[in-house]
Amino acid sequence: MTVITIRLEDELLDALKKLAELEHLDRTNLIKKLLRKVTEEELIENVLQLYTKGRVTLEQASELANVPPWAVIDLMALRGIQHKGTPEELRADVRRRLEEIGLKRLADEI
Amino acid sequence: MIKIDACSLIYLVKSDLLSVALDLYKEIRITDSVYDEVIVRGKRAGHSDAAVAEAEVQRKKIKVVPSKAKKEPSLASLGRGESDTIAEARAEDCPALVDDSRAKVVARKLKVPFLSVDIMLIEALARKKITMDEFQRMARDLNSVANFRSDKYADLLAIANIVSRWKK
Repeated sequence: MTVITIRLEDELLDALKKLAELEHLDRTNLIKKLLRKVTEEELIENVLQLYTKGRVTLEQASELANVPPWAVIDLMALRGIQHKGTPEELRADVRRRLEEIGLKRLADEI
Repeated sequence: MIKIDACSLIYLVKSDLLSVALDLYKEIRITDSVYDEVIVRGKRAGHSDAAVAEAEVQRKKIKVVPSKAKKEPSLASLGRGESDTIAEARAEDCPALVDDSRAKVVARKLKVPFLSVDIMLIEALARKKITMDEFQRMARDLNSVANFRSDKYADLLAIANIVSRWKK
């Protein structure tokens, strides 16, 4: 474990003291708990944004956020983040696939 | 036979569409890297759907194969499972089921035959493996997992209408 020193504003320190009392924790453990929670949330938020923009793949997102890929998919749905694909890409991919399976005439109608 | 990446495997399991993939392609294969990523890591984290996927492996509905294919440099931008899936599909000249948008870009560039789970449903409809009613239900289930853009989902249903009315 590494020791770090940070300077905090008096108001923030007061709020931490009050919260520590309410949660029956000493200040160090409270700060560790809050840091862990916020860090995990911010990490996931940032990774979901990268994944939504197509900057990382699902596996890479899962590794960066340190959660299994199932969790990334669940979080995307839970937060209502929509899949990146467009109707134009869909039509092009449907046409290509129909041609690959020998249905060129049908592909031409899409 | 079809090779499946992590994203598509999750969509198939969560939307209960593995049977459609089996009906169309007879054999579903995942690489050991996809197995580790989806099933081993998923089970370790307590995801119940990972156990569902593992049961399909044990029932031999999904085969796990080692990744042996030589990889193109462009595959380096993907995760290990995604790149293995595309490399294996390319080496064996079979389609890859790929739903990850970045992986699709690379598959397109390498001219590897690929499709995503929504297009698999269109293919099932075109091959008369499912009815339009079944398509609509399955597409709805898939959308609840994949959360497509609403204009894309509307277009998927419009394409399905054309396909269902089409006569050879």
